[in-house]
Amino acid sequence: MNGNENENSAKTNNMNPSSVCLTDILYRLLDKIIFIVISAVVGAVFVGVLDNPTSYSYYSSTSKIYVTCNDGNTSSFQNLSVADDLIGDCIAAFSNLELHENVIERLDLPYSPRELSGMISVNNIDGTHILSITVTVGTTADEARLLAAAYAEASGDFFKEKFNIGEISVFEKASEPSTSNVVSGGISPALGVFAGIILSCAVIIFSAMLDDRIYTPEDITRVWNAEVLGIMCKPKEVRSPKIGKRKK
Amino acid sequence: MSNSNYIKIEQLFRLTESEYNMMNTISGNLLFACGDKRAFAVTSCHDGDGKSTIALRLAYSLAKEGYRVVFTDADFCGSSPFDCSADESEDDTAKNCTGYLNGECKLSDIVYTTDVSNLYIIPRTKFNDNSAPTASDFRCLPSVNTISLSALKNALAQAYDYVIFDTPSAEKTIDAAKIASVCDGIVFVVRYGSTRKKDIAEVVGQLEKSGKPVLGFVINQVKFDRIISRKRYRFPKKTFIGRIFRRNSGGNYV
Repeated sequence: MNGNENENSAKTNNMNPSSVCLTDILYRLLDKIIFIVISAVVGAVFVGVLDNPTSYSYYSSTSKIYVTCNDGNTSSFQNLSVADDLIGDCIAAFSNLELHENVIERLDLPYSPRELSGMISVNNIDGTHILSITVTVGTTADEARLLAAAYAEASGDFFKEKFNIGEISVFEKASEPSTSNVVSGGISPALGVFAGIILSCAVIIFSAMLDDRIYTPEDITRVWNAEVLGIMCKPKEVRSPKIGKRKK
Repeated sequence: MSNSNYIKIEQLFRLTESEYNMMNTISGNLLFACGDKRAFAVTSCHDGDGKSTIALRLAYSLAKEGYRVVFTDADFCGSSPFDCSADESEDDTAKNCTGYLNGECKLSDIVYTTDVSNLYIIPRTKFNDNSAPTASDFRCLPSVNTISLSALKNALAQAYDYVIFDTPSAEKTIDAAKIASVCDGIVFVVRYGSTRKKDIAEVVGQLEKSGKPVLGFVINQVKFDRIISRKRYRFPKKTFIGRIFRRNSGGNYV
């Protein structure tokens, strides 16, 4: 055995045989581009089939009341001064469940007082004694309008009783409900496309990392200290392999 | 060498220009790598990797360069590129590599001239007909005797410039390592997209025990329909324009 020959022999490199070059992965992804596109389409179709987007409609109606302290005994100036202080109290009174129960009784509603309190919002228009009561429901426009009107009336009675003030006038009746449509609960098909691409790329990369077959000279030279002499292409046509004839 | 030992093999080498260039690259790189080594064993991990084709084309390519090359078909288990039994008589059956190794004939009886100048062939025995081999067929196979093989190689090395042994696949038998041990170097054929690194590591480890170096690898049956192949081997995509302007270009790995 010749010592020099052993030195020239194909020694194993220290590199990990299973290491995969990033360029190779990129080429593999390009090779499988049709697979990626099909996965993206399948993902979009899958999401489209599973997805059931729901459209919600909301109806809002607003009524406005004018808050004064007109008890007949004090001057107008005093009334206005007291009403300034009352505005804040009136807004706070809308958190009182008794007011909501009053509205429920008036309209015979199937809601609980807490549910109703979540449907309304009360605002004071800046620098005025006007309270704006907005009711938002998800059922019908008519219900929104009725509720807004009922709150305007019920709040007048409620304030008169609780705060011992004069009549509360309805400044503006319940307005025609406005409609706003909100689509929710649906997943965009773009998400399916994205998921399809990510999944297919993950599968290709994972299989590339597990694949230890030889594709390029680098696959050999990375692992063994041996030269690649060359390549030979796959023959396109099968020639008759046994054609040797001996001449007698 | 008798004149009756003649095989027509030129038809085996109807290569395209690209294939011819690739083969020239392989033989050129082998000549650079081999130095003064003159006997090579061509082997692979599995059957069907194309070692016989590569070995024969390598011999053809070297012969075309003017070297006197003898191709020895020592793949006693696999298929042979030659069909020498079609019209051979009982007398001639021993005139092959097996017969020589069994001491049944002389060297001059087993070397066949060919219609390719400078290329000589030593065929091996083959199974009868196309039927599957039986147990008796295997009993006929010679156990590779390294002493006989060494004598054969030395005799051939004296008479020819290069000796190429087509060996059995290394995973199947130990014969590849035995044949490699009498040669000066090993050419390892791997099949594109089929041969696994794990298998190569096992086989190369076994071949290294023969004490002979692996001179290089040949990647066979490369498919250029994949982007990874086209980019790596600079083989242009066969577009209509490419067919017109880049005909037969590329595909060379140097």
